[in-house]
Parts: sequence; structure tokens; C-alpha cells
Amino acid sequence: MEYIIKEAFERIAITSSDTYQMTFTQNANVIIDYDGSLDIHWEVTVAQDVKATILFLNHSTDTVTTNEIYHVKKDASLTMAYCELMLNPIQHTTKVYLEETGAVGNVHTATVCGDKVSYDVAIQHLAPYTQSNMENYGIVMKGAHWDVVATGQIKRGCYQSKAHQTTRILTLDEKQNVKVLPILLIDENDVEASHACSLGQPDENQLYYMQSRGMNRTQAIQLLTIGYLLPIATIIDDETVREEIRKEIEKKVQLCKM
Amino acid sequence: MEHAKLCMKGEIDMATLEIKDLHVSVDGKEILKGIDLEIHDHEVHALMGPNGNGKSTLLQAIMGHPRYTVTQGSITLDGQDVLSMSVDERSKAGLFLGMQYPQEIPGVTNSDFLKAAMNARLEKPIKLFQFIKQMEGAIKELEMKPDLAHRFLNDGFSGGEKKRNEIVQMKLLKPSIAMLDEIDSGLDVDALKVVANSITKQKEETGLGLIVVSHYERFYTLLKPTHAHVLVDGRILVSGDASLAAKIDTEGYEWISKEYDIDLNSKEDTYKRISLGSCAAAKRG
Repeated sequence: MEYIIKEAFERIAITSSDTYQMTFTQNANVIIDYDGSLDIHWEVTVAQDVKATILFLNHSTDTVTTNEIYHVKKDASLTMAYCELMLNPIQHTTKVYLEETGAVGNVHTATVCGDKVSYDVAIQHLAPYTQSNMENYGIVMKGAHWDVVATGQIKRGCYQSKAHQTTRILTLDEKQNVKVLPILLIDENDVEASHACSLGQPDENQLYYMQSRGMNRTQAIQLLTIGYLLPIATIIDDETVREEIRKEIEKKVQLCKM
Repeated sequence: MEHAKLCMKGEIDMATLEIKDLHVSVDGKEILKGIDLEIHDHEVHALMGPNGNGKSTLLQAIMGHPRYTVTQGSITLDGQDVLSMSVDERSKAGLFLGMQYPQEIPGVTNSDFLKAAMNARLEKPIKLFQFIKQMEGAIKELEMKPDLAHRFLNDGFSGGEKKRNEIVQMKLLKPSIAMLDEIDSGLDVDALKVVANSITKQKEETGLGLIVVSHYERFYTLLKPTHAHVLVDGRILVSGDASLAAKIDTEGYEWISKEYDIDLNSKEDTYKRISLGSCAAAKRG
């Protein structure tokens, strides 16, 4: 199935496994609501000078597997975000190619992991002056498994490129399995690259600070948890969507055992 | 009814914080060695003393920081046993600690944090309009930037902004007794006046009682303490009125050293002997 994005704001529902192609020829925000047991193949192209934002909103309680490829052209910008709050098994394999000078690729994930979740996200810099930023934020519940492989690769000759990534994972129990593998493959000297990773239980000093203002421990952890996930809501510049995501995050966090 | 609820309803309560023979240890080492102190509403107690003698320990122990163990003595607020309360219960009972090093919490906005803190002490959640009005009022009074509400809690704040934000929180939570731990550090001269005026205004409006730790007479001059205490080696050695704070500002602590025959510079185990070696990464390698 092929989509040519023509509107500044589009919302697309995906409920069947298929191969999808999407082309952005003008600036646009797209929300993809997906539901059901899915095995999806995506290929997305962002044309020169175009700014594209894609937010994946998961509504599925079944297994979801995606294989995604993104091509970002000259001076184009791609921002994509995965809002995964359904506690279902998920496997995302994502490749972003910054193919021409000035291309920008941003990948954000916000996940409540209650089953088996795997992200394998790779951003390749194939031209000079390209920039990437990857931010993975999530909460891991008791007994869940979460694997993250985050790769930023700057090829030789891609000078003045920047590749940054941050992974912050909050674990709410002592019995879960989390693996984070941040990888930076740099073949050029004149570049900037960084990764930051934090993984662990809620910070006791932060909890004390919040409790000293009257919240009990559960309320403090819930607020801290919402803080991990809420920034994903700001990806789409639409107040209605932000509020929808915010309510969904708050609802989900209330349901989680803290 | 808890003090904050009464204050939020406009019904001001009287307050007395009473500390008797308080002994506090940190990691097995006794820091406070018998503190007696009584603070009433409308009073401002200046708590002074050289660094590392237990001022912050006292405030953190009153608030219930888990690292500080009370080994002896009692703390009561209006007759209620504070030591049997959890940290959040102490806050809801009317205690507030303006911290020396406020925590940064990325992802949690100031407004979400404050709304959650206010709702935690109310039977029904505060109406959004009422909350915004109160928060904007406090931000304006503290002369902070209007975007404060939407910024992540203390994240990327300057030292002065963090301290002013502590006072914004105090204004909204309306405690009966507030403890301010070096809240003036990081503030420039103008900001110091703004903060002091705001604290004084709250004291006049709600009868707030205060324990204020500061090293600077300028702050005390603005706050006009009714009492002053000097804490040395875990004990309150001298108590007096505002003139005591002024005396320490001009004469330092040397006269206390002579009068009480105490060497202020000899503190056991202040610096533990350490050895420098290879880092953990090298060891693993």
C-alpha cells in the first residue's frame, strides 16, 4: 500500500500486516494508529527540504513486529516517535538513512514494557553535515524483557556530522531483564558523537524530595514515571493529540503496580 | 485537620514544633548530641554555626530523610509525634523544608509537580483555574519567568532559580513551620530582597513559623529573626535574639570558642583517610 502525504496533518489506521510505502513531499505531521496482530514493513522517503513528523501510537494487545526503512534527503528532517503503552510484545527494527547533506533524523521511544520488547534502531550518516538524535525512555515492569540496540554510524567523509543518543530506563522491580547496547561507529574525525544511558530503580533522593512535598511513595513514583514518558507527547504540534497521549500515559501509569 | 488543609481553606491554625533531647546519627556516627528547640507560629529562628556542625542534619532529621537516624529524643508538631510519621505525612502535617540542594527531576514539569503536591493534601483535586491563579501569583511575586510552570522541575535552573522555586513551592503548600536551609545562597542582592519579602509576607498572612539557616547577616536583617541559636558540634551552645546574629556577623564564632572553651576547628573524622588507586574500569580490564 502506498501513501503520498499531501495534508499537513494526517491520521492513518493500520490494522493488517502488509508492506507500506510513504512519501513526504511537503511538511507534515502523521499519526499512525496501529492495532491487532501485525507484521509490518515500512519504507518512508522524506523529500528535499521537507520536515516530516511521524508518531506511532500502539493500540494493540497482540504481538507487533515492524521492519522500517527511512530515507532522508537533502536538508530534510525526519522526527519519528514510538508511543508504546500497551504492555504487548513488540519488535521494532528501524533503519534511518541520512542520505544527503543537511539531513536530520530524530528517533524517540516511550515505552511501558510489560512483556517482551525489542528495539533495534540504526541511524546511518551517509553525507556531511547530517545530524541524528535518538532518545529511548521507558519503564520496565516485573518479569518483562527489554532489549535496546541503538546504533549511530557516521561513515567516512561525513564531516561535521552529529550523532547523539540517550537511553533512560526505569525499572520498577528487581526481577526484570533489560539489555541496552549503545553503539557509535565513527569513521570520520571531524564529527560530534555521544551516548548516555541510565538504567535502574527510581532515585531515592528524587523520591525523598517529592515526598517532602506531601506525595506518598506511590504517587511520587507515578509522577516520576509519567515524567519518563510524557515528553513523547510534545513530538506532534497538536494540543488535542498531546492531551490524548497525556491521558493515556496517566491512565497506564495508574494501572501499573508501583 | 492538617494545617495545610486549613490554610488552603483560609482557616489559619496555630503551630508549635517542639524538639527535645534530639540525638541523630548518620552512617553510625552521632551528629546531633541533644538538641532542644521550640518554634511557634510567627517566630523566626536563625540557626547559625560553623559548617559541618549539624545544622542541615537537624533540618533533614525533622523532615525525615531516611539517611538520618534519630537515636534519642522527640519531635512533636502541635503535640503530634513527628518521628512516627512518614516524610509525606510530615509535609501534610505542616512541615516544609526548603532545601540547600533541590533535586532536578527531568520530565516532570513544575506545574504537574506542584499540582500533585497540592492535591496530595486535599480531599478533592484543586480546580485548574484556582491552581493556575495561585501558581502564577507565586511566580510573579518571586519575579520568576512566566514559563517556570512548564519547565521541568529544577532541570537546567540556575542556583538562584532553584532557591526561588523552593519558595514558590512553600507559597503554594502553605506550611505551618518552614525550614529554610541556606535558601539565600545563589541569590543576588536584589533576588535576596524579593525572596525575603515573599517569606515575610507569607509569615504575616499565615502565621508561618520559620527556622532559617544562613551564613549571612544580610538575609537575617531582612527576615528579622525573633530568636537566634548557634549550633556547634551537634549542640545548641548559645541562644538569643536577633542581636546574636549581628554579633556573629561582626565577631565570627571565635568568642564562642573562648567562652565555651571549644576548639571549633578540631572535628574528629571530618576527613577520612583515603587512598588513590586504579579506577574500577581499569580493574575490570
